[in-house]
Amino acid sequence: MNPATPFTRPPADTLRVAIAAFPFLVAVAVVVGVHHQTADRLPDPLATHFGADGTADGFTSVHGFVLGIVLALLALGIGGAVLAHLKRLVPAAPWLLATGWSLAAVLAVPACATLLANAGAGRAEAARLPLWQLLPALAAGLLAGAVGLWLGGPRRRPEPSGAQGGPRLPLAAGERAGWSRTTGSPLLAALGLFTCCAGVLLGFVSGPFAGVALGLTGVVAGALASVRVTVDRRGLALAPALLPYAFRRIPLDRVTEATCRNVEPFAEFGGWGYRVRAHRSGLVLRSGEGIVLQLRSGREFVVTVDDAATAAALLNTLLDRARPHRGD
Amino acid sequence: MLFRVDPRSAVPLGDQIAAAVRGAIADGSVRAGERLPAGRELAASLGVNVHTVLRGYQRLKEEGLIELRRGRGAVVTGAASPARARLGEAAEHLIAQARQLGLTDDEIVGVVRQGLAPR
Repeated sequence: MNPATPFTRPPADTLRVAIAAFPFLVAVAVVVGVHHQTADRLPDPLATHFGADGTADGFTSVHGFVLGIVLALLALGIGGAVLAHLKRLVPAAPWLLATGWSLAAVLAVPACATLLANAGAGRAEAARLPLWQLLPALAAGLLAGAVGLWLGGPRRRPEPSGAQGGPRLPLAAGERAGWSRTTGSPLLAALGLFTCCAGVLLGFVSGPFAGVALGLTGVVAGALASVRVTVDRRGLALAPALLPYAFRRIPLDRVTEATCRNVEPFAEFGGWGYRVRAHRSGLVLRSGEGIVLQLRSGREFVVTVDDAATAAALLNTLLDRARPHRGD
Repeated sequence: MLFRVDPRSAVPLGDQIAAAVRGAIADGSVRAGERLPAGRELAASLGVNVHTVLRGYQRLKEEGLIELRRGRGAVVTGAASPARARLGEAAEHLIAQARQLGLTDDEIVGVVRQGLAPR
């Protein structure tokens, strides 16, 4: 008996590229196969767009439709394979593969349903594709996504920091301490400023509504570009650097331990910003040093910030202080 | 940066806050242009009075280490170098030592003036 299936390890380079391209090739084969089987019964042009009640309201030539779907699938397949080949995306491979597999299914299933509905009706105007037909497409997308995720191998778990029991900061009995620092992303600040300017410009060119909407987007981006991280007797708080109102608070009694480690936004969170994932969430505006809170719920809360070691040490010390009172 | 105050110490709380910032500038962990937390926030963090924090910030302003601007809070000035902050620390030591000896404020200023007198 083989104790480990080959896919419990992250797949090798070429295998990963093949896994990324595979669903799109299958989807192309299925669409072409269905077209081949139904070709002599298909009306031309085909009914290719359906209203909410399932009646046809948009038409495309048979060749245009099949060629369009096949080219789209091939382009996505090549794109997926290229992304799967990139070294720096390796940590994100399971999600990349899941997205590709899911996308292939979500494109191919409705395309086949459209061809079958046309072939069954004989006349394009009579073709029906009720809205519930989208359910199999969604189900196929989820299923294929799950398969892609499984084939991508286990998600990489961040190595726990070597420190035993977490760092501590020596504090005298009655001494009070607080730690505060801003963290930010100059890129996000530039983006926010640029969006604001674009909003003002758009406001003049095409009316105030679009301008204000874009301007507000810029303000939100700008507000998140610099965030004040505070650690004190109340716990951890995140607030925009320019406004004294915290948008996220983690009270001390929800934390079991604090550590400090290197954070890789792409591998662990799939990107930058305020991220929420299955087992962890947090504010990751850059890669590098970050505070990691182990929460009572079993989740992790991560904030990338300089001097994270001091913040983690202070939190552990404050936790030690609070422990006799909360009984653990 | 880390702020720590000990209410049982003889040093006024505002001076302890100023000393924390001075120390952080001196050891390079806080650099020019960095923004300190707003007085109200830091007061809530440490469980002290806002005026206590502002008194500490005022001292730092007088030493030229920070700038206080309405709406922008406290920002470490470009002139605030680690060496400049260490000078402030040295002055603190001088004052503490002189007070231990029982010197009055005027006598302490006198000691400094004597050192500055042209020779």
